[in-house]
Amino acid sequence: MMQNTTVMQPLTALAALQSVLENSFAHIVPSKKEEFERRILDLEVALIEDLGRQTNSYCNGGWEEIRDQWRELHNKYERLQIRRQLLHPVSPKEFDAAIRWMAGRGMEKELALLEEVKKKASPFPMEFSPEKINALIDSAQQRIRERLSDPDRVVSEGELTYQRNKEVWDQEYAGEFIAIWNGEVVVHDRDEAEVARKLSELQRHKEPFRAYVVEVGSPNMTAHGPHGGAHRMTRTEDTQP
Amino acid sequence: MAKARILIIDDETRWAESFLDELKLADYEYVYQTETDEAMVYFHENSDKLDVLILDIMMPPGTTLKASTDQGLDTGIKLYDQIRAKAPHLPVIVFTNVTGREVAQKFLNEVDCWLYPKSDLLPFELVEEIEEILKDKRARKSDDK
Repeated sequence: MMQNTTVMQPLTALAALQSVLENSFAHIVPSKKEEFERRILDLEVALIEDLGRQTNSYCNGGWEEIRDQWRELHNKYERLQIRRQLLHPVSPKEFDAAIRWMAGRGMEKELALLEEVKKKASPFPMEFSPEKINALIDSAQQRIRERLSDPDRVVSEGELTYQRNKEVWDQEYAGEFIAIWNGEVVVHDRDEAEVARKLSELQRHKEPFRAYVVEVGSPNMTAHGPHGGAHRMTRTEDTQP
Repeated sequence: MAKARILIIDDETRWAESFLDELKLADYEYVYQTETDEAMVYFHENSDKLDVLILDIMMPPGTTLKASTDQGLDTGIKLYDQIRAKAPHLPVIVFTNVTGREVAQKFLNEVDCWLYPKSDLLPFELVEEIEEILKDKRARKSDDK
């Protein structure tokens, strides 16, 4: 069968590039590895942005069908980029902007990352005293916690995760209640009360969080708060992502 | 001649770089400010020459707003009020990482104001949105005549 070489060549080039880059890591000066990785990540994000624009400009009118995939890809690598900027900032301005970004878009993982930064020595002692860093991070963490426990967000993101994994989870957890948090099933059981108990146990050991509980195959769902509170709903068109 | 003149106030330089490249490609003239105090000085001196203003909510508060912005997490909200007092009809795009209810309530009912979460658009898409906003503004102007 004839291969469509015009389509295959650029896709093959990207995969080949990945392989060459992986091999190249062994030859980078150890003290420069961090900088090298950072440069690659910057280029990857820029490439996603550029290829997204190119795809859009050559699109046959179906951009709406693929734009979410581009956005998700972009957001994923942008998040990695900001996490790296927070841990290894090259300037006070970048450090400051990374913390503010976390306040606006940070999730569970970023809460932990900010905690890590608090414990480290200030990267720029002249501009950021430990007190200043702590105050800024405390405000950012407060914003993240507010966002994480917003029931609307828990429902929309929990439902989106469930719908994405429905085919697999409906088989794997048939007849069970599943608690979804952070894109994963964290607790499952045939008994709903047992799910609530296990969730409380989990919430005691982790950062307080709100989980989305679904009875697999049923329209009933519940958002479980960090202190035993629960909000029950029935899936309708309004709650569908 | 450039299509329009845009002031961008945003301290997130990496993101802004991508967006500024897109603006250049699309033939817009822009001024990019990362410091709140300098941005407001520029705005007050040039507000009548601007066609669009793009504002990030989370910015270092600078000296004028220092005590009132919750560590700079609400700087853009305070700046917006100052901008509106001086230029009531200037199209303002509030482009932000913050998507909370409080922010939505503040901006959704504002006239000539568009709120975009940064995670919702790729840089080139924002340029397309600006094109639409300017087109709409011009159409409304000619309707008024």
